[in-house]
Amino acid sequence: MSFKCNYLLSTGNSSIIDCRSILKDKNKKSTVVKGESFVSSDISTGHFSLSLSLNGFTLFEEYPKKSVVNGMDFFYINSGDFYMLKDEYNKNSIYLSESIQDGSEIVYDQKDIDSGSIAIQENTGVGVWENLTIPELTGQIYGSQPLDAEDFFDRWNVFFNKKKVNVEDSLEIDQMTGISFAYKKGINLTEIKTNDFDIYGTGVLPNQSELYIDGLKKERKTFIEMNTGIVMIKVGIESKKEIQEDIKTTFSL
Amino acid sequence: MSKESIKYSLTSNFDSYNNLKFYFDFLDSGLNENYIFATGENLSWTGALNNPSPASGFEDCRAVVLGAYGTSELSASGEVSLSINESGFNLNESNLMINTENLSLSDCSVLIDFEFIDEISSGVLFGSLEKEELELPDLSYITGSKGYNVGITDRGHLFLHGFSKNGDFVEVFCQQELSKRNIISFSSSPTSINISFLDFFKNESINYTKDVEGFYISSPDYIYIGGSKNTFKEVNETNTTFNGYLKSIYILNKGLGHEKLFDLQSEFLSNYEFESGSSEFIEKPYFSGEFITYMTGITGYECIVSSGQRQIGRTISSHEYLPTGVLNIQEGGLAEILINGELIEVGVLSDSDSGSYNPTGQGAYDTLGLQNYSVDISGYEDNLYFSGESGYYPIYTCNPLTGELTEISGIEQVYGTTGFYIYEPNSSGVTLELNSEKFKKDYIYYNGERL
Repeated sequence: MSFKCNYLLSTGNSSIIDCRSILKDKNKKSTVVKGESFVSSDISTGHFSLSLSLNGFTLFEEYPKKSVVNGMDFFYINSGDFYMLKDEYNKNSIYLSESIQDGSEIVYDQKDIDSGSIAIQENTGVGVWENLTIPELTGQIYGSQPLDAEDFFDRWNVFFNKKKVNVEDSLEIDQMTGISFAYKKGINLTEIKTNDFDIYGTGVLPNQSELYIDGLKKERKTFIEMNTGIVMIKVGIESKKEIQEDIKTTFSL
Repeated sequence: MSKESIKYSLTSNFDSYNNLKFYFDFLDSGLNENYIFATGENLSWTGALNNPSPASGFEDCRAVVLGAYGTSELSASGEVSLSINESGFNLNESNLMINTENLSLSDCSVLIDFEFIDEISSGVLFGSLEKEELELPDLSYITGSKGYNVGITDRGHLFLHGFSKNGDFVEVFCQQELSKRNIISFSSSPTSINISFLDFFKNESINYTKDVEGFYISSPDYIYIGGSKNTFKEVNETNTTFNGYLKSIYILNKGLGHEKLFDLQSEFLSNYEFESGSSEFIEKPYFSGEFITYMTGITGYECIVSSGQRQIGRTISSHEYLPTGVLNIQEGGLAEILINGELIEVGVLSDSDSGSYNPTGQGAYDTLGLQNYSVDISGYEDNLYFSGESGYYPIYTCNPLTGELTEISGIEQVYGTTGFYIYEPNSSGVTLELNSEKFKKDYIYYNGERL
C-alpha cells in the first residue's frame, strides 16, 4: 500500500524555558450542532488563531462579512470554510460554511495568528499549479516572500481541496480543479516526509507534533511520542505466569 | 543546580533545612569528590556516599553503594567513582542502600531525576517493599508489608508496586510516556501514594494517586535505589534492575503535594544568584542663586612700540620781537610793551595827560576815575623761528582690548543638586537553566495500522 506520511515536528531549542514559549495547545475537540461549534477562549485568541480540521480535512478561515437585514446582523463568507465570532460573553463560536451532520467533531489546534492566503484553481493543464495558482497564493503573502516553490512549501503549509500537499504533488494537482490555501508554519519546525509510519531520533517537544497521511490530518491518539529506548512489541517472553493465591489476612510489621 | 540553590529553596519554602533528610546530586562533580568514602574493616570494604549538607539527616541517611566492594578503603571508594560519570550514577553497575532511621515512609516525599541507557527494560528505581509471611497455628499464612516500589515497565511506563489489604498491587501509569531523561516525584500520606511526572515543558506536574493505607507502607530499615528486596522479578536487593543513570535524588521527611514538589525540584535544578545590596542616590535640584552675565565690548586699547624713523614736527630754534607799529591804547587798557627785552602785558597810562583827574581831592579818594585819554605806544609781535629736524621717535600700534562692560546682558537662575539615598538590600533568587534535549521525545510510533 502506498501512502505519504507527513510529520510536522516542533523541535524547540536547547533551553527548556525557551521551549515553553512556543508550546501550543493542540488536538482540542468540539462537537458541531446546527453548523455551529464552540471553542475554548483560552485557546482561540481571536480570528485566525486556530487550525481546524474535520474528518482529517483542513479548513480555511475567512473573515466574515456583515449585512443588516431588517435590523438584524447577518454574517457570511465566500470561499472560506468557516468563520469565527465572539459573543458578548467572550465565547468563541465556529460557523461552518457547509452543512454537516450534527454531532460531528472538529479538531482544532492553536497556531500563530495568520490569515493565510487562498486561490481558486479553475483550469487544469501542465504547469497550472506552479505557474498560476501558487503565484496567486504567494501574491497574498505579506512580509517575507518565499524565494521559490520549494521555499514556499518549506515555510508554509499548503493545502489543495483541504488536503495537505507537497511540492512533489505538482503534476497530480495540475489535473485537478479546486481551492488551495496556505498557512505559515510555526518556528523551529521540522517536516518529515516518509513512507514509514514510525520515525526516530528527531528530538521533538512533547504533544506538539502533527501527522498528515495522504494529506489528511490524523488525530493525536493515532501516534505516540516517546523515548527511542522503548520497544513496543517484545517477543520471546513467557505469556503465562503462575500466581499463588495464598493470602489470607494482613498485618503491619 | 548548586548547594546554594538547594539552601535557597529550603529556606524560602520551609524556613530551615530540616525537611531535607537525604540528597545526592551526581551531576555536581564537587559533591562526588568530597562525599565518597568506604565502610568496612580488614579486607572487606564497601563504598558509600555521605549525605551532604544541607541535608539534616547527615548521619542517619548515608547511602551504601552495594556493588562497590574492595579489599581496601581506597579500592572500594574507587569502585564508587567508577560508577559515576557526567550522566550520573550508573544503576546498571550498583544499587544504593539508604538507611531510613528517623524517616517515615508513610509521610515523606521523594524526587528522582533519572536517565535511561539504550533499550528500556523493566526495573525498580526506588525499592522499599518488604513482605513477610507468617504461618499461623492453623497452618494458614498471614502477610504483612512495609514500603513500596516505584519503577519502570518494559513498555517504559512508571509503575507502583505495593501491598494492601487486597494483596499485592502493581499500578502502571500508562497515560504518561517517558523521555530519555525524566524527573518524577512521589509522596505518601496516611491514605495514599501520589506519583507525579514533572513536565518541565508545560511547567506543571502530572499526578496519579493510588489509595493505600499508611498502615501498609511503614518504613523498612533500608530503601534501595535500583533494586528492591521484593519485586515481581528479583528478590535480592543487591541485584541491579534498572538500566539507567540516577542523576539526583532528594528525600524529604514530609508528605508534600505534587505542585509543591514540582516547585522544589525546579528550584533545586536552578542556578542560584546573589546580588549585593546597593544604594542609589536620588537627585533633587534646588534654587541656589542667580548668575549675572555682563555685556562684552572694547574696554580700552593696548599700544605697543613698533620701530621706525618718523618726522613728527618742528622745534623752535629762536624768536625775536618785531615792531608792529603804533597802537593807540585807551588809558587803562591792556597792552604788551617791551620791558627789558620781554613782552609784558601792562595797563597803559597816558604820560602827557597824567595828573588830570576828576574828581580830585577827597573825591579822588572816593572814586578813582579815569578820563577818556589815549596814548600811542609801540607795538611788537613775537616772531617764532622753527627748525625742521628729524630723528628716532617711538611709533605706537594700538589694538582694542575687549572685556566685560558694566551693562548686564542677562540673568540666569542657578540650581544646585541635593537629594537622598535609597538603599537596596541584598537580593537572591534562582533561575532555571535546564537543557531540554533529553527531555524531548525522539521516537514516534504510529498506532493507526496496529489498533
